[in-house]
Amino acid sequence: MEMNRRQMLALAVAAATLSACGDSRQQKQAAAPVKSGAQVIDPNRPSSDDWPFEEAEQLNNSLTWPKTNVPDPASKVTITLAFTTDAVTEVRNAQFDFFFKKRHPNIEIKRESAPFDQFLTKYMAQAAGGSLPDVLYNHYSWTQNLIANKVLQPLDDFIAKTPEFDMDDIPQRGLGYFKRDGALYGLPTDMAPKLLFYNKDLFDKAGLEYPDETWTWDKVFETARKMTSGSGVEKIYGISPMPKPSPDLSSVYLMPFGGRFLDAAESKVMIAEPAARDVMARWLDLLQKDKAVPSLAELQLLEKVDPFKSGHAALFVNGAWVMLELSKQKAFKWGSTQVPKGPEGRTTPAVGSALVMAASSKNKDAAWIYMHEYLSASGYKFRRIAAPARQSAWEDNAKALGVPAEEAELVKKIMADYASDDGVLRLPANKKVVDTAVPIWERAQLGKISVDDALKEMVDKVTPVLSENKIA
Amino acid sequence: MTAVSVRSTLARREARRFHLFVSPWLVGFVLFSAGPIVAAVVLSFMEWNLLQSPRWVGFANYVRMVNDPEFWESIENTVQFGVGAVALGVTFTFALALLLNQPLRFQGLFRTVMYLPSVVSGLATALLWLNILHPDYGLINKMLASVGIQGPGWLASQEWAIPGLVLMSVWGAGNTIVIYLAGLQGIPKTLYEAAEIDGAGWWRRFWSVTVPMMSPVIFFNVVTGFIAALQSYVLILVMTEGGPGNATMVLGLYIYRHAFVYFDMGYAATLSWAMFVLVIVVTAIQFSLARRWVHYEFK
Repeated sequence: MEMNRRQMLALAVAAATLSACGDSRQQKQAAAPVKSGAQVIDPNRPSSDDWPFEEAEQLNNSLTWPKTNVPDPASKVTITLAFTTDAVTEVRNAQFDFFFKKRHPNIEIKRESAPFDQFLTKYMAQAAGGSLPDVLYNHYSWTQNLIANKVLQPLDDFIAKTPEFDMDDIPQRGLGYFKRDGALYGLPTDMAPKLLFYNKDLFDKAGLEYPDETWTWDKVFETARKMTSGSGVEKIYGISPMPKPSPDLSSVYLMPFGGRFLDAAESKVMIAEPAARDVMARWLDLLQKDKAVPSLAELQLLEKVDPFKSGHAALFVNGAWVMLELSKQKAFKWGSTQVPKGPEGRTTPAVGSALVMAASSKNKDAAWIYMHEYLSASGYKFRRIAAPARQSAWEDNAKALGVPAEEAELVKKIMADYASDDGVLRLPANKKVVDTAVPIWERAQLGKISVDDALKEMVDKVTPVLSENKIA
Repeated sequence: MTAVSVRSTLARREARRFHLFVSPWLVGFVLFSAGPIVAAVVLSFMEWNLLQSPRWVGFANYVRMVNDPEFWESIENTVQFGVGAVALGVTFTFALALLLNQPLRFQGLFRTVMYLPSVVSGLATALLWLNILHPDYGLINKMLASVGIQGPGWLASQEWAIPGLVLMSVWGAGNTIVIYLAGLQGIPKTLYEAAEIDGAGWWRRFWSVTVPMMSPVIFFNVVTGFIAALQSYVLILVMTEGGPGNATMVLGLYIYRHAFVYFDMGYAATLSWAMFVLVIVVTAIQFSLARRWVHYEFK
């Protein structure tokens, strides 16, 4: 029989449709490996070179997993989790899920992962469609917006039903991002302060004493000038990075001098007031006159990798979470100490991300059971994360990850003594505030406008944005 | 069965098949193009943060846009980038197409090499150009330094960031070159022969034969190039995030930021309509000017 062109086309479409159906049948029959980044994780035995299954099994068996009065579901339920992790960590999470399911056979887990820079967009779109996962990762700067829009479930009742969930083990001064009207909506997955890091090799070469807890910001500025040398690829910066309008600008740089970017209620711009203005002016001098901090052009040269990490800066203000990265490199010796003091004392932010539960979750008990174990001391130890919010997990994790014990002790001391969420922007307009102020500060850095003009312009342009922080 | 009824059955069957085959496109168009366009009109009169129900605000978003200095700044940056990218792109690619149209050995190889950048992924292009435009170690400033000129700061400079992006925009112009090549090969050889008999040199042949005959193709590339340039933002997002000091905050990036960073969907929809109007205005100007310089062989 001879077919005409139309029949041929119809046959081709039918064949394609049939073959598509055939594919889906085959996929269902095969084991369902989870693809994460470039790797495929075997759900029946998740393993990788970084996280061998045998080690995970041994560690899991050695840990005591906590109990909760929230009952396990009587029949099978599935909870959906949405995390942002890299491909390496995803294996560890798959291992956690594997052993969790053995302890809770009626709880099935469906895990989703999205890159950090796409995460909020993806799940805001899902929220608009009314289909959020049961448990979600949350950056500290996102949570208040979700709380204000009634997307999240308060966790206090679940915590009350779980005597073993030791809240005292989590720094209370770092929970402000996740609280509203006395209710707690998020529990931190990690939390750490900012520290002053230093390159021991550069200090030895300059014959200067290492920084310690007695240092003031004045001494840091003076040392940064002394340590600056060279040019081009030989350039050594005294300190890095250059402060800019950011959620924790007040906490790290301004509050030690009695200044603030915004007031505590995030309803007024205070950066042009004398205390804050003087600090910003000093940094601008350090950049423009002393060339002691990387400029915008130099940061481009460095492809946005901080020069401290490549041994090209003497001092570095950053979060304790970079200890892991610094511990792995062998190019230079480093140390860390508390952030410097100012005339008004010493302040550092306690910042971290959290897990939250969607108010729309149909399986809240099962979601809590998962959150409880994931965020227990055993959960933190199993995940081996570098900056655990549970202080009891610091020593074990630091030892396992090769972070020096004295550095872990330092962080625990800071978290216990003074690290706090005070001064860290968190209300809904925080991203818009930063995006409005940064271009103005960049123009000041480029010498296009004076520090006073820049700060005045920030006040003028940021003030209208703050109306979005009013939460009903 | 009569011949008429057979024809009618065939016609009906043909019509059914036509609708069957056209329906996937039609459904896709309604769901993914026409639907969102209509939704954007409605959304531009609303306030919607994705988490609450949309709220009718009338013309508030339009009033806000007109009074938003960053919006006007983004329009200025967008037009600067569009004019620069099209002027350089059209000229450069036309010159390249003329060269690639010469009957040389390895002509196919040269054409392939010139087309290759068009198939390089956007992120790789961005990383490559970050290095090429580097103030200290970039290829361009190295070349300028070799003749004693100190190159600008390019993407780290407020004044030179847009010119830097314009240079980069020429990189992926392979498709434009292909269109030019097709146009060049369509010019009748008899016109060149007649011009040569009249004593025309290479410049006169180029100016009086090639350019007029290619003017519809040049016009097509100018119009489509402008539309693409006015909408572009992805590489700019990767390379400068709108900086330094908002110097590269183009309208596309400004819309992206309001839609997917601030989740201010109503205002983003309003800004999208502003972009649509900008594209229409620029295209209308181009069509009105086209009568003066575009030569159509058959009218």
